[in-house]
Amino acid sequence: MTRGYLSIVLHAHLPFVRHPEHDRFLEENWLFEAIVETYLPLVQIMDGWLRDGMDTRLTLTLSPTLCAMLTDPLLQDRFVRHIDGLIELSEREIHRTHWDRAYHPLAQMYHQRFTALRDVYFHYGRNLVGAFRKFQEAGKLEIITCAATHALLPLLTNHQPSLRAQIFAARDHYRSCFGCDPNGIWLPECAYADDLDLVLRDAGIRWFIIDTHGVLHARPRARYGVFAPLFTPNGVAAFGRDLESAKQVWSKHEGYPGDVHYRDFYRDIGFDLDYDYVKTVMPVAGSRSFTGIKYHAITGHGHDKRIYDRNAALQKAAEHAQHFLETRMRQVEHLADIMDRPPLVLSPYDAELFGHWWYEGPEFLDYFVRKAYFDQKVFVLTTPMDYLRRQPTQQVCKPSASSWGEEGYWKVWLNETNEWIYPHLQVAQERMTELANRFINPTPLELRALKQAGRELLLAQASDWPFILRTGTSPAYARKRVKDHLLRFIALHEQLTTTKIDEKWLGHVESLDNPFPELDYRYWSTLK
Amino acid sequence: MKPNPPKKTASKTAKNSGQTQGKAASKKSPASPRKPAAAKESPAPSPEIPPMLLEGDEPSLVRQSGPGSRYALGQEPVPAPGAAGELGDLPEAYGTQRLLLTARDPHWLYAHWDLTREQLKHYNSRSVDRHMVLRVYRNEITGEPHREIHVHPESRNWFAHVGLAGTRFVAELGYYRPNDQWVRISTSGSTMTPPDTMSDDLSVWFETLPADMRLEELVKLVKTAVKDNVPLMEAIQQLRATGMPGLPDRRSAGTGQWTPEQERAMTQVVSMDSVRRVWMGSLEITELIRRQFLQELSSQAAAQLGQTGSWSGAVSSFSSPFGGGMERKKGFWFNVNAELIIYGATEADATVTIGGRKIQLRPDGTFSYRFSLPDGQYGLPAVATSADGTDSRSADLKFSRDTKYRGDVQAHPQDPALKIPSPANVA
Repeated sequence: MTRGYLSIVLHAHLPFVRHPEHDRFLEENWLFEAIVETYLPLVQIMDGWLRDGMDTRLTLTLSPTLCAMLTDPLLQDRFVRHIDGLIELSEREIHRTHWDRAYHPLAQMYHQRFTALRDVYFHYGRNLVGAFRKFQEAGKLEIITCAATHALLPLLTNHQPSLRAQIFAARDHYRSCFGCDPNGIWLPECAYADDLDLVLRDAGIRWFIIDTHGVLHARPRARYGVFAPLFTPNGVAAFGRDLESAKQVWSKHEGYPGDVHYRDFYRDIGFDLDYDYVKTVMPVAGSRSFTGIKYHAITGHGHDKRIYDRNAALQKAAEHAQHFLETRMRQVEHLADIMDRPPLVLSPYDAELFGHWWYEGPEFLDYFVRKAYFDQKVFVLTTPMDYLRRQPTQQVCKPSASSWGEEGYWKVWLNETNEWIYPHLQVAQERMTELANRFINPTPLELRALKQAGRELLLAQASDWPFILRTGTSPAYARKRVKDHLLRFIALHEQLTTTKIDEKWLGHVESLDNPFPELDYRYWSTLK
Repeated sequence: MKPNPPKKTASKTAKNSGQTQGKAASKKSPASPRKPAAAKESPAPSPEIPPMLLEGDEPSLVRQSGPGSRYALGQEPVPAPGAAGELGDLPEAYGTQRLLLTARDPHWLYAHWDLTREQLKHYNSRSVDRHMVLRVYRNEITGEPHREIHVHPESRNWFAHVGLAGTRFVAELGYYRPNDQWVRISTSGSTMTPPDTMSDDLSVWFETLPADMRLEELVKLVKTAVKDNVPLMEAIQQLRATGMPGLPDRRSAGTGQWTPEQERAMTQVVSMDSVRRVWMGSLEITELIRRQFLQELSSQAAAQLGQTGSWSGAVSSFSSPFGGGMERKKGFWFNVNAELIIYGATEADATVTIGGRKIQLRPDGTFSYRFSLPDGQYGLPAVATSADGTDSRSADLKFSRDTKYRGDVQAHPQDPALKIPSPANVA
């Protein structure tokens, strides 16, 4: 007998990185690696579920910036160049490992895998947004949106028009990608603050996810903890993250991905082999980078790693899927014994964990969903919206401000390394509202400049830049991106208010920062 | 723009001192002078570069990658000038005199004041202390401030410890004239620190919102009878009490008996203690792992890690989330390996196999392939067959490798810190 529900939510997001002014650009590889290692494998496994007639459910965020990049012709061309380079390199690897028999089968595996993934990419006309849309329209996937550029929304609450623009621009973009309104939204970094629900309500959003303490600290106390959603004061459902299932997947020592059978992330031929040999796939001449061809398993620290055994790793993924299934069944049964309604366990993860960081992650997910569908009746896989259809009555509470970042709030995005961004944003945001209030009936050229100003502001607001400044993975790039977008905004503001619009320059900037082509600048207006 | 490290360090030290002053710095406290430690500790002259921009240029202390930290690629080159490069740099301030105040977590606020260098100089010179003061109040600007912080004369921002969760704060920026006369420059909007405890309010209110009912329609419906600023759920409740038609029916689910035993059992399932143990958001996981990994290394190795800076960004030696990462070599080391290059040419439309596997020829009929050459003896047949299949040539290549190692010599990897060899260096 079905006693409860489980919802797996994957959050796929990357910042908007597109540099037509350069032939190759290092940070564009964020997208290409994620396509190869996460998004295409996800499409493959969901195709398998459809093929096998499984009536199952998954939820996936596709952030607006990610959708914009996945459908951008330039980046599509560059992705094809990227995967062609990998296929060519793996072909050479088959030869190179001719006498290195331990590596040889792995070289063949990579070649077959890259070739198959390329086939999937072309099967969907190079349009992965369309691929995921197919699964949504088949009723197997709920695609949700995110803030337009993944801005950390609680840091925008002192400028309501910016909050509105981030949410409404995202909704509009979702409509253009998927032909319907989004029901759910992934609040960037699960960051929620008081009254955010009002903007969500106005955008017709029905649900979002918050971290566990956002529910535990709700006022009044949430009777069912994170095992049932809350209705916020404005009627949007807030689903809390389940910790137990999170820990099993995330944690290195307690979690699955750290198992020694799985593929090691860091040993990569991009660093192991002679530079001249691998330079064809390096995004920047003279620098080494990851290629995605890795031959070793996680076996302790240092270089003495065991050679990766694909079959053993897949066997382990199946065992972990079985373990995850059994613990979820026990968890749901235990909760159902206590609660007076069927519990919901909601397990959100970064999508890129599956495949990019945890190479066997997609197979784990595939095995788990299949086992959950065929092998048990304790819980049903669902999406948050399906759950709300079944359970329209919920407790009304005010969730607590929170995020899933370090220490649970905004410290990652607001600290000594990145606070310099916010005063600039504050001024730009207010100026954008002034522009929106001032230009009621703009000329076509003014309209272009207003839209571009809005785009630059949205791009400058992305939480990715302060995050990178904090973690130090590409700080120079993040700093430059913030400055570039703010400077472009300042120039546009000046041209619109005091000088005149430089159409040639505007055209150039439009060609660089081109997401949200139909952006409505009036979202920043405060006029009724 | 290049930062100025010595001045910056001074500024940071000053800031930390100021943050820990607490009420001791209150002007009402006779035991403590109003002069902040910050000002005393920082005799540096006015910096040429404002701290606001320097802080953005600070090299990050945390170098890592992992789930959530998805931005790991390898060595980060210096960004090429972009299309906006010609636009110069951001202004150091705009001079709006606005005071921005925002809660960062249950215990800390961030304040920023937008003053140009000239404005800073002006207000500092009017202050009896030669610096400005940030006053933080609970709820509204009245009575005694919750915190009074004497800020560094060159600062434009402060992280202020308030230590009160779930509380509304406002702030004002100003300075003292002689005789404790307070002059206000700017007032902030209010901000609320998030609560960090479970609510004592155990009241329960259930409401029904059918998923197929559009929120927009519901809002329209209640707006006819309830003011704009009443939250939707409260408005529905009010209107239901008046018997208004068209509202969703409230169903009985969840409104039955809920016993203290059930309440206790639910509390045991998930508690804030467990939340804190596994708080692992997008950055948390890598933070935890980094700490764990560092603990696992010997203190000597950890010290070496701290000293070496040549491993960049994503491949930092202690950053692997699901793998051991690449450990920095200690002391002298040597890696050497051997590969063969088989190269040749034939008619462009011919078929060539090496070791029995068909290879791809370049458009001009040339080819070049590398082979890993472990110790041992090997044969490699290379066969070329003409396009019409009527002619064929072959070569049986024979190789052997026999390596004698002395000391610890590894085959891999290359050190990513090494520069790419130039032809002159390898000739």
